[in-house]
Amino acid sequence: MINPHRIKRDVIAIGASAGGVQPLKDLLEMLPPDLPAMVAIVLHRSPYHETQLPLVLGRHALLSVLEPADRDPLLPGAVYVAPRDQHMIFEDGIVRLSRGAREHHTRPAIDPLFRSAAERYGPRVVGVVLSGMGSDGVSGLIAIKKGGGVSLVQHPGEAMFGTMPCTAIAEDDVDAMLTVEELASTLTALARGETVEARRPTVLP
Amino acid sequence: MYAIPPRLDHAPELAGISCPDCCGSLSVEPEGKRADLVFECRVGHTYSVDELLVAKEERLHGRLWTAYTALVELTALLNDLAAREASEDRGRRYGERREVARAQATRLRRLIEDNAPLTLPGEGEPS
Repeated sequence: MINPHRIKRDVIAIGASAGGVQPLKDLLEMLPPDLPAMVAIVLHRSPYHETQLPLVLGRHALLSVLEPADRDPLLPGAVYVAPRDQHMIFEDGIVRLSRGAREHHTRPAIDPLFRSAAERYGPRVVGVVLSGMGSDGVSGLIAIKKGGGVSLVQHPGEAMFGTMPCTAIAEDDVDAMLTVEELASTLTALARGETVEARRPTVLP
Repeated sequence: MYAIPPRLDHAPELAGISCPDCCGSLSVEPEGKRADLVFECRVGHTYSVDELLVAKEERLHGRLWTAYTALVELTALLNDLAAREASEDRGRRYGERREVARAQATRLRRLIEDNAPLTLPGEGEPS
């Protein structure tokens, strides 16, 4: 069971890499417009090529999806997408962007977002790792768990690239591995401070 | 010195810049209906304009961080050596150089973090 003490988990941090666009689009289509949480997304992407990522993700989303500027305020019901070539982290009530050292050869990287969320918001944080290769996001998820937050991954069987979720399950005490549809309802319930039935995944052979 | 020869026909010409992968000489030639430039080095590394720009940006990124690390390591080394140094004269020299290197590192770090790379636009939609 997740969230037996009915804490409002209203800071949602999501990381995705290869094969991550589709689950992100699907998830944002299913998150309700009155979600009482803020959502931050890091998707690995080229630092050089202009994309329409916020537009693509926002097309069918019920929440407002935006690429923030440095020091934009963090507001509930908004979805913040990390811009290319910059790490996106939380400070108190605002988003910070920086060109700090790449992590796992990439910027934006998932770990800095997750670590900053854990540091600032502790038990209010839900970290989610979606499809991807490599291990970015894993130490961030561990930090989120350590801070009393919840750690979720996309079901590796559903993800186009299951390595990132699998590595997270192997390294961290992930609370649940879920399909995108289950993720949407779970995140919504957790944001409202509800308890969710889920089985903790065991280490894959 | 030019990077791209000022007059280019449909034949490879030696370029004034080096291959990002192997530092060998690049040559350049226009190709296709739009006469897009294609760069190729002696051993066959090949780049479009956008790929060459990205490769050069990556190289710059790497070299800037390399320079930063060099300054940070030198600062740390001088700091630890100064602390162990018996000779007052050497200790002073170490300390002076350490402070200069530290200040340079701070400036370089700011330059690195302010260095927004080129943004490449997407291709136009075919109609």
